Amino acid sequence: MWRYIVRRLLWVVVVLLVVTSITYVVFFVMPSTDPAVTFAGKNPTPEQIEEVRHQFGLDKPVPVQYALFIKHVFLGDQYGWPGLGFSYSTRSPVKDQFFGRVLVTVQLAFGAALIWLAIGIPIGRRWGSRCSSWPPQCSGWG
Amino acid sequence: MGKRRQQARLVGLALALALVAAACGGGDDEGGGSSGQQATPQKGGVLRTAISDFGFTNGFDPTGEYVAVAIGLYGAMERTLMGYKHVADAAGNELVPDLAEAAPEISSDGLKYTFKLKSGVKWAPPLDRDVTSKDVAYAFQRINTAPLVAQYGFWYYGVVKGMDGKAKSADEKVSGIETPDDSTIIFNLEKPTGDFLYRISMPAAAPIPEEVAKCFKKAGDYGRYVMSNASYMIQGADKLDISSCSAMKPISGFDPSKQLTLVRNPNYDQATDTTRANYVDGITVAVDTNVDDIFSRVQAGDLDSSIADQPPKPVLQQYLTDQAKKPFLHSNSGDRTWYITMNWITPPFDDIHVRKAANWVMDKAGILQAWGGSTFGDIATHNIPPIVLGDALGSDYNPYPSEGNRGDEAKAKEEMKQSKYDSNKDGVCDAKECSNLVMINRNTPVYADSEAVVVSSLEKIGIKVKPRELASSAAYTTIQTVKNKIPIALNAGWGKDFADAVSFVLPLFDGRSIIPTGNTNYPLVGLTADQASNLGVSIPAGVTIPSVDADVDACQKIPATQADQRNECFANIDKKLMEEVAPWVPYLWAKNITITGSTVTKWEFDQFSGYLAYTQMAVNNKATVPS
Repeated sequence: MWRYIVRRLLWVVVVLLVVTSITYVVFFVMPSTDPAVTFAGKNPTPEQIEEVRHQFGLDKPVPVQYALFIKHVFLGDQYGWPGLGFSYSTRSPVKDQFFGRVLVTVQLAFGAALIWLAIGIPIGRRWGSRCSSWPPQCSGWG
Repeated sequence: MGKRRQQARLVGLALALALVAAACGGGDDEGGGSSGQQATPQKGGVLRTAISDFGFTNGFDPTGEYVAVAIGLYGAMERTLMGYKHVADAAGNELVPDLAEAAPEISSDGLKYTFKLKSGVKWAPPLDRDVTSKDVAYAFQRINTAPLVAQYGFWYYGVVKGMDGKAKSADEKVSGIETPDDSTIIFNLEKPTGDFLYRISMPAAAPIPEEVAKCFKKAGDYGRYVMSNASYMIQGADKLDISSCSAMKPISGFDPSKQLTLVRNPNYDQATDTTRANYVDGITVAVDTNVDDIFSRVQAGDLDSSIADQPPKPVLQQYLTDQAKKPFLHSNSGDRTWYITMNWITPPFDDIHVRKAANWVMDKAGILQAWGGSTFGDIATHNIPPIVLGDALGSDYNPYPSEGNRGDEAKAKEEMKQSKYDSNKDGVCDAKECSNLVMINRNTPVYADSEAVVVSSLEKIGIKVKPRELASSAAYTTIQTVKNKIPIALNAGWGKDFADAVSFVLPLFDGRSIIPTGNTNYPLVGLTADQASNLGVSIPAGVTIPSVDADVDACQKIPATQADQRNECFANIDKKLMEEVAPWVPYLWAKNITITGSTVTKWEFDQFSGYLAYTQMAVNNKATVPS
C-alpha cells in the first residue's frame, strides 16, 4: 500500500510539472502580448522595451525562466514563501494579492460544495439504490 | 418515518435553492436622485469613485506613468511649472502658470527658458519644506535615467541639453538645466521647440523630492511612495518613515489592486493656487472589477461618480431616455481619434488611390451606430481632434464627404479606377493583393460590432479583409511590430498627450519616430529606404512614401505662445495628410462618458486628463475619509 501511495505521489509531481510547463510555455507561443512592450508605455523606444524586459526577467531563456519559477514556488523568492513572483500591473508581490483574496475564494468554494453535497448526495442515494449495475436498469423511472 | 424523511429532504432542497437565490440576487437600484441641479458648491465631503482597473503601466510612478487615469490623479497631487485650469473644453487645454510665478522668459532664439517658482508651495508631510528648483531638476534627472523607463521621455531627449535617456542613475545632473537659486530654474534647449511649455506641463516634469525618490532605482518602484505638493496627498503619507531607504514602507492609502485614498495636504496654501478649488476633504478611488456594480453603486448613492469605465448599454439607455437621469450623464470630448490604419508597405495600400478610395467608401455613420451613437463621439473628418487643433480647420472641413456620412461608393470607385490594382478600371480592386488581407481588431464589443461595417464598406471597392480579433494589448503589440507588416487594423486610437497637435503628429506621422517594436506610426508615413532596410522590411518597388517631417520641423519653430499660428501650421499638416497621404480612415472623435450621482453638487471635466476634475468637483455626501 505504501508503494502505491508513493507511486501516486510521484505521479502528482510529474503531472504538476507537465501542467505547469505547458501553461508556462503557452504564454510565450500565443499571439504576441509582450508584457515588456505593454509596460514600456504607448510609444516606447527599443531601449526602453529591453530595459523593462530585463527588469521583468524576460530576457532570460524560457527554460531558465521556468526553472526559476519552479524554484521560487518551492523555496520562496525575495518576497517570501511561496515565491509567486511579482505583478507587472500592480508592481507588488503576487503572494500578497493572492493571500488577500484566497480566504473569500475558499469560503465561496466551501459554501458551494455544501450546497451541491446537500443536493447531490440524497439524489444519488435515492436513485442509485433503484438502479442495477450495467446497463442501468432503474426502477421507479418513467 | 420514510415520508417524514422525504419531506425533510425536500425542505432541505428548498432551503439550499433559497440560499443560492439570495447569494446571486442583487439589491434594488434606487433612482438617480432629484433634479440633478447643482446647488452652490460647499466644501466638505469625500468624492467617492471607483474604477475596474487602474491599468497603470509604471506603477503610478510619475516619472514613467503614461496612463490618462494617473494623469488625472496627479493633477490633484502635483504642481508643474505650467499647468491647467482643470476645466472642460478649450479653456481646460490652456496653459497657465502653476508652480511658476508666471510664464517663463524665453530667449529670442527660443533656446533658453527661465522660470521663477512661486513662494509658499510646500511639500506635504513628512517632508514639510518648500518645493525648490532642485526638486524640479531632480525630476528631469529621473526622466533621463534609463532604468526608470520614462515612458514619454522622448518629449525631452534631444530637446533639453544633456538629456538622452541613457543616464545610469538619477544622481547624474542634466547639463542643460541650471538652478542658480532655490526659486529659479533655467532650461537650455538643443533646438527651438515651440511646444516646450506643454512638455513641461506633463506630470513627469513635476518636482520630485530626492530624499525619498533616491531610494527607488527601478521603473515603477516610487509609485507607492509618491510625495505631494498640490492640494491632496496619499492618505498615510505623513506616516512614511523617511529616515532611511530600508525604513520606508508603501504608503497605506494606496494599494494598486484595491484603492487609492487622497486627503488634504495640510501644508497646501490656497493663496498660491488659482487653478484648483479643492471643495472635497478627500477623494477615494476603489478598484471594483464589476463594471455593472460601479454604476449600480453610483445610482444607489454609494459612489458619487464613475471615472473611466464606459457604462454598460442598459445603463446608458436609462440615462439617455429617463429625463430625471439625463442631467447625471456627462459626455465630453476625449481629444482622441479612433481610426482604421493602412500600411504603406503592404499592397494594395502602397497605392494612394486605394487609400483615398477607402476614405471615400467608409460608412462612418454605421460605425458610430455600432459604437452606440453620438453620445460616444462625433464622426471624425480629419486626423487631429478639433479642440487639439484649436478648431483651425473649422467644422466644415471634410475632404471625403458623403450623404449622411454613409460613404460615397461612386466617388470611391472613381478613385479606385486610378489605382494600379484595378486592371479593368471598373472601380473595384481586382488584383490578388486585394484579397485575404489580415485586419487586426480587438475582441471586445464595440470594436467587434464595428467590424462588419468596415468589412462590408471595403468590399464595395473589392478589398476583402480577414478580421483577426485579439485582446487589446495583443492587438497593439501586433500592429506595433513593423516586421509583422499588418496591412490594415481597426483596433487603434490615439489621445493627446497635451493639447498641442504635435502630440499627435510627432508619434503618429513623423518618419523619424518609426521604431521596430512599440511603433505608433502604423502607416509608416515618411519611411525611407534606409530605415526600411534597418527594420528588415522593404518598400514596394516604385513606391515613394510621402513624408511630413519637414512640415513638422517648420511648425516646431513657432512657440506655443503663438497658438493661432501653431494651430494653423498643424492644420495644414492635417490637410496634407488627409489629401495627399491618407494614412488612416479616421472615423470617430471619441467622447468620455461619466455618470455622477445626486450627491454631486458641482460637476467638472478636466480636459487635460480627459476625466473628472477631482479638484473642481463638490459633493454633499457628508462622508469622511475612511481611516
